[in-house]
Amino acid sequence: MVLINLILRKILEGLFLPFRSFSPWIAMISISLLTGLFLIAIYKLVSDQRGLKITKNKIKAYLLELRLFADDLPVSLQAQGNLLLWNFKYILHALRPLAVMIIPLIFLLSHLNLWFAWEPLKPGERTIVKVRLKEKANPLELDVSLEPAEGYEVETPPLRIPNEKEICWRIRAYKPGKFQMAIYLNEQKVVKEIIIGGHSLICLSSVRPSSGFFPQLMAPGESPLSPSPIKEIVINYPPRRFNFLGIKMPWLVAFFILSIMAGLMLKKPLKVEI
Amino acid sequence: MKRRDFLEITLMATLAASSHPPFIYGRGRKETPLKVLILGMDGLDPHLLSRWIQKGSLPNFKRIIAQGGFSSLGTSIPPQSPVAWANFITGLDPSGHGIFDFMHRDPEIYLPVFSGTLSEEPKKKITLGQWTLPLTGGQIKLLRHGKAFWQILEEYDIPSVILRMPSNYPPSPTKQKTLSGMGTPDIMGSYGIFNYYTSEPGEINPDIGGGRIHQVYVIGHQVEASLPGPINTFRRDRPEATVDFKVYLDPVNPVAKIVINGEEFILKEKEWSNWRQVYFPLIPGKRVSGICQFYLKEIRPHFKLYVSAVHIDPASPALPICTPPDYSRDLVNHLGLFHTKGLPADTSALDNNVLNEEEFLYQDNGFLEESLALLEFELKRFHSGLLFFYVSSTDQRQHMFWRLMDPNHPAYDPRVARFFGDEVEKIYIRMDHLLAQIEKYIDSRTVLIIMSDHGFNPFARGFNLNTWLFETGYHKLRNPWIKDKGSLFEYTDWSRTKAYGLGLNGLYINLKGRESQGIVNPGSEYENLVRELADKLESFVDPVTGKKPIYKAYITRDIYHGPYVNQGPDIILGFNWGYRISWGSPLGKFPSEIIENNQQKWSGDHMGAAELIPGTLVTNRKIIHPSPSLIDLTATIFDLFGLKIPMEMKGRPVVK
Repeated sequence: MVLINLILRKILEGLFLPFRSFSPWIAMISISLLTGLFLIAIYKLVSDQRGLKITKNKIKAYLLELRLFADDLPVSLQAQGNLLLWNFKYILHALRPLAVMIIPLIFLLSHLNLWFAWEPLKPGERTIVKVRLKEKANPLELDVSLEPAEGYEVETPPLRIPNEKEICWRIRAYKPGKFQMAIYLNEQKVVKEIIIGGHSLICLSSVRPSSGFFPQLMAPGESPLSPSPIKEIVINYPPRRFNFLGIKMPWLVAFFILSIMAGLMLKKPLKVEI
Repeated sequence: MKRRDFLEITLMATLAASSHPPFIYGRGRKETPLKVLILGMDGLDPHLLSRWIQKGSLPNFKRIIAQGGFSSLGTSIPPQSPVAWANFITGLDPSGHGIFDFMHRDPEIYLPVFSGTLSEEPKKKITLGQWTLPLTGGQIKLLRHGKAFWQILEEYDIPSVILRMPSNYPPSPTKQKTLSGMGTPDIMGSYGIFNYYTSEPGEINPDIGGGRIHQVYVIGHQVEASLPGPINTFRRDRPEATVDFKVYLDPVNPVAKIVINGEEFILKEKEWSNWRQVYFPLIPGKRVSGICQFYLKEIRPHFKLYVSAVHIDPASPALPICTPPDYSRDLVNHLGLFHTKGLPADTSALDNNVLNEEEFLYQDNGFLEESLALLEFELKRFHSGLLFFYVSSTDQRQHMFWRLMDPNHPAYDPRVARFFGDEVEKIYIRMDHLLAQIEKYIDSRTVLIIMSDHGFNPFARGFNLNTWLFETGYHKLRNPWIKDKGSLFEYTDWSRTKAYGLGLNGLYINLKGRESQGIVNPGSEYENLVRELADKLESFVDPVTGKKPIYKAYITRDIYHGPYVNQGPDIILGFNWGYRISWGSPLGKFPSEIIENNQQKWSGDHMGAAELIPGTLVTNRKIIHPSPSLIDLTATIFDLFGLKIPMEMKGRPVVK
């Protein structure tokens, strides 16, 4: 998992390198186009194109039958039954390519999340750093401290919330750069990357997870923590919103709209039946 | 074209052109080289200003006065801010713009109503189960009549930016950039209601004005509470929309995390948050956004959290606060969130000891600096036309801190005065620093006008007008033995009552045909009664001080003759130095004493006779009239731009 995440991070870093200083919209449009192309190509390769065509023609034919014989109840009912049946077949045809696409798509989304979900902290901006503990740990029994560093200051003492298994601090960013935030837990040092300022498009890891498949799938930005009572370390970066004609939307909405549009635009030139 | 026609046309054109100064380019042009910068410092008192200039505390005022001039500025009758600023905005007196007080009365029900704004709910609605859906839009109306001067400037294409102008909510329709000021409500539609969450039982007092006290319990180092918002008019039962929040406390460290609307922030004890956006759900898919500040006053032994009034969110205004409609959003993009409530200083919280002097000043200084950032932002792009900017802190500090600079004030406290006795002087000094800050934006083309709507005086003794009317037999009660218990005239016997006091300076006659239960006949009975009351009020003597509390009882019809004179009170009280209407009387109460000491922290005021508390005029140009007034300044604006002063305005140019 660590290796897969590393490879994907490097690929996206290379891919987004030319777009770093521009509006994130440009990278978003580019990756959505590429994703649309990728998905439509997989669909063509994996699906039964001939079967899909036949199924869609059948659906059209039964729709036509429904309109032509609207006055004939037995024929209408039969057409409706057939419509249901062939729609079900259509879904079956779509299932195979969807099953193939879903795995790379989940990886892609979790990595794109690193690039588009948050904005880096601006100098002067405040945020919360959280240490979430594992089920059996009690924050009141642990000796935890967050070390100040060059790029940020720690403004509050630790706030321990036993019910939530959480310890948090407020920090204030004041110098642009990439820093390693050091947290001491009973004299054991763990670090978390923090980014202040920089390019408008930047890979931001909000969460450093513990080891395990799902935590690393959901937070692929940093290597997992070594075994300790810590479940994850979180920095609340400000969420990024994509503004389109005054409508602010999360990146996922923009991405889905754009990649679906790209897929629909490309299906004709690539002669893909969907 | 005949030669004669040609000569006539040429002559006419030349005359027309020469009737305007050369800097006016005429209709359709957006630029004029002239810049008029007006700083409206609410309540800036000419006597205090002179005193501190002489002391040497205000060198920048002194410098500008040396360049131009300084004069007292005739204020409105009564000298209340909404009235005075409406005079300045329209160039008309109250009978021309229709604003006579903060509060007017509804003659049908004898209850106070806001003088400046009327909110109307949608006329057509459809009810579906528990939901009520509007089919037409509701309305918020500005009740001020007359054109605002920037609307007239717009007709001549002279650009204006009007920041936080009082008596302009909702903003007058215009394409000019305007942001409403005093009169702009909070999200609940009130003049500002703070919320205070406390676990200390002794602090639970449901009967405080301007705020709500909520009892909370700390359970497992956690507090759960809800923040009240606007009335949810989409629900048939019209409950308050609320948003729940949680506060997590560290068991030992003085620090807490507040989680509201899924957003979280950490505060240390005695620390203020910056503006936080809060969202009140109304119906699925529809919510109202507001902004507020949190102050973690204490964690242990008692939990105490103050939440400011929820202001209209300038990033997504639920109510109209600016023109053009996206102006406030544009400002947020450049400057971040900022307060929008007309008078942001939380005087109620200070008055009720929810905030102490230091906390109040911290918050109000924040509001002031936020406003000054707005001014600086607009000054950077101010190249032509008019820019008006309003400061409320001058007024609010004098209201709240007068008691500490005046040892004769009943609320003077020498211990507190040691630390805060010079707060009024300090705000004057801050205004002086402001003049230094903006100096770089003032060039030879800039006319700088610093003005105030009125001056200030101590509010040491409160006059219970309604008690006086009761004692003198002009107001009758059904149950006189419990007269000091009720409010809003709930025990009044209107069938025998001749006069009542409502608002801060107003006395109304219970006039037949105007009031729903009027008994005084129009004509001579009315006229005689008004004069009789005015004479008696002016001759009344405070038995404790031997002074006359009423310096002048103005008979409205004698001093005003405009079309809206009927909306005003019949007599406007001009109080003497040190006096004001009491706290209870404006709300239809009957306290036991006619005159009482004012022990409140709200200790300076300006409800006096206009002659006693004029405003201030300081300018970098010569003042050409010996006794200028607010309406003269309006005329001056048109004159400076070379425009004809509208006929309905009575003012004359005072600055050249």
